[in-house]
Amino acid sequence: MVTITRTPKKIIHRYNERCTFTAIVEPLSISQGLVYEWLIDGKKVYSSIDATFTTHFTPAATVKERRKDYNVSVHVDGYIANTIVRVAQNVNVGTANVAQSNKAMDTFDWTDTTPVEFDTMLTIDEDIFLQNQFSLTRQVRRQKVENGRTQYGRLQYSSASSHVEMTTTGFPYRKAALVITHPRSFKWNREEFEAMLAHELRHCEHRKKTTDSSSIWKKFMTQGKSIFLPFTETIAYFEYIQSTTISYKFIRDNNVLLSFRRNYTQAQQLLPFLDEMTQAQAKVILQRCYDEAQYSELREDLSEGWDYHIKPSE
Amino acid sequence: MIHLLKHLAIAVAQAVNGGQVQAARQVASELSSIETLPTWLPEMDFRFYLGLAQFYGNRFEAAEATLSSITHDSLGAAEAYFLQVQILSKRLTEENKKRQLSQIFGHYQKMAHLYPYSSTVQYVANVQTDQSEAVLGCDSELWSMPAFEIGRLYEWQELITVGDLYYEQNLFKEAAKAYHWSIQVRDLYEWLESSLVAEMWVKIADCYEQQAEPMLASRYLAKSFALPLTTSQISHISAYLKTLLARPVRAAPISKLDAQKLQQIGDMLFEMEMFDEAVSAYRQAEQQGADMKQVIASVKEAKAQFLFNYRLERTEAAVLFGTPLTMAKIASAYQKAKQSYINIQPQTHQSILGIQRCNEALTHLNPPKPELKHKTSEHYELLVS
Repeated sequence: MVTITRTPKKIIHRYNERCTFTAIVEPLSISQGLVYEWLIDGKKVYSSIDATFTTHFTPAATVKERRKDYNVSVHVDGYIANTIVRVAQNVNVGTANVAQSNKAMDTFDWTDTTPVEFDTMLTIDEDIFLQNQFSLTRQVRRQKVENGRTQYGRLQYSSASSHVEMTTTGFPYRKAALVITHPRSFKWNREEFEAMLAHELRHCEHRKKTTDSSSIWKKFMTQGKSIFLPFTETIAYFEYIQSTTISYKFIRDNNVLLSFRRNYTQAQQLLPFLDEMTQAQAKVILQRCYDEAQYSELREDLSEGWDYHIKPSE
Repeated sequence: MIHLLKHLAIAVAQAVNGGQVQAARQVASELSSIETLPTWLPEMDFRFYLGLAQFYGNRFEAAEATLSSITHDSLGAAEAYFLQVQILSKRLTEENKKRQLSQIFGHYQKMAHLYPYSSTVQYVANVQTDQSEAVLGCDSELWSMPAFEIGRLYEWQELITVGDLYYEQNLFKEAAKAYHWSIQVRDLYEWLESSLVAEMWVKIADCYEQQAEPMLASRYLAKSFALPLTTSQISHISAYLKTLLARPVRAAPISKLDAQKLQQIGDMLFEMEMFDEAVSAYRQAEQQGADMKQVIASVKEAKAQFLFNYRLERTEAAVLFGTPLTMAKIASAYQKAKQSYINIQPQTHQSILGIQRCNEALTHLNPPKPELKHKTSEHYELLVS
């Protein structure tokens, strides 16, 4: 039989990253003098008596290759082994994003209650503070504008420079006040923009739950941001992990796998800090992430040497 | 001693992979009966192996007693604290929770001190920030999810490559450091459960052997036995350890510094936001004739920018590396970056732009922006200092 190992072992590789594959034939005694034929996506690319094959993957700058999976296989002595190699593109390609404006944000139809409930207790002063703080151009609370139309400010564009793509903000133990889209988020395509909104919406949902005294999110927050943060980020990053539309480039450039793993493991380490009931509920949440994460390499044995690994929570 | 370490590795593998405790108990008993340690194995290292065997043998009280006696000069000190955290976590009850949690946090703080590239550093900073916010009364201020965290870009595989690049230049001390970083940045449980971490300890041992420090090399080889190993790994490492202890000390090979490789290392470290480490690599490249002044100034500016962004996402109570992250500290980082740009002589267009950016940042830092200070959700005041 034959198996393939890879160096480096990454769940998603960088564009043009050097990858070395080694075919391991068992039993080793028969591996002498064999010819190894290497194929990529079914096309023969290399043949040698050496069991290793090195290449660089360069997905095309096309929509089709936003999530490019290369099927690398080796044929030797009548045996075949294959492995899937995910590689990021070097450019952003995808569906054109919406414009950088509040008018474009309005097309998402966010109100005080959809897609999630926002903080309707916001005072005028707080609203003004938020507008100043984030260089907003409209108020956060709903208002009547021309033609008697109701205008909402729960999803707003801010042209002020920012080091992040989007911000969910609000006050502790209250629903989120709003989500702000910053110029950086428009460097991506519509697919990524929507995924970022979905990520922020998870944070909004968790903030909403902090208003319910029986919710675990309230309990997390009561114990401090150091507890609340890894849990909310685990779930928000899980949104990216499960996405089948965001590009591999986005995942790599935004360190999605690293951030997910980091927050997930941090949340696991915090479990003892929670009371028994909260701990049990938290374990269920984390275990679902473990069970359902679409990149199965995350669950493989540590000795496999993938770049990221997570442990079960239950 | 070597045969006992081999037994330890087998027992660890059985405990980690199959939850079996018998072999670990046996090893703990054998280790306890040792009266004299070999000269190459310090008492404090030995206690870690004993504590580990007791831990995997589910002899938690004994393990705690052993592990808590370990001092920071032990190669297993950080892992010993992590094991103690696990023991304390198992013993938590509603009654003892407050005291135990405070003890656990104390252990995390010590881990962060011993392994400053580990994720515990950010965790400790978060808890200390929570505490500081409560004291300063800004725990009800407006807040957003922070994106800037220490270690958010650390990649263990990249750090191994950094180690390899140093090794190729016979820079063994630096290589050993980079390999060590690659272990530190991995998740805490991996320090005790990953056979790949064991391979890194072997690489570090090799670095120290090359550097003509066989005793230190032996200690690192011994440490690899504290992880679950395969039979072939156990044979290989024990053979290496025997050879190492038997052969005469060899002179360290002369380093073969390569400016291009050092720059590559600097670039990789910079990309992972390991700013000070990147500057060290660039300085070494500079000593080989490479012109690194502009790059070094950019790294320093990026560090200042990182600190600024870190603070921006948090409140005035932000604590980092055990001390408040004040605007004065960020200003000092920008001043250092600015000075590096000024030192570029003759001045270039890029260095002038760098100075301008630093000046602009410093203007923003002083005076600080007005901040909303929340006392409660209903009452707040603007703070202008």
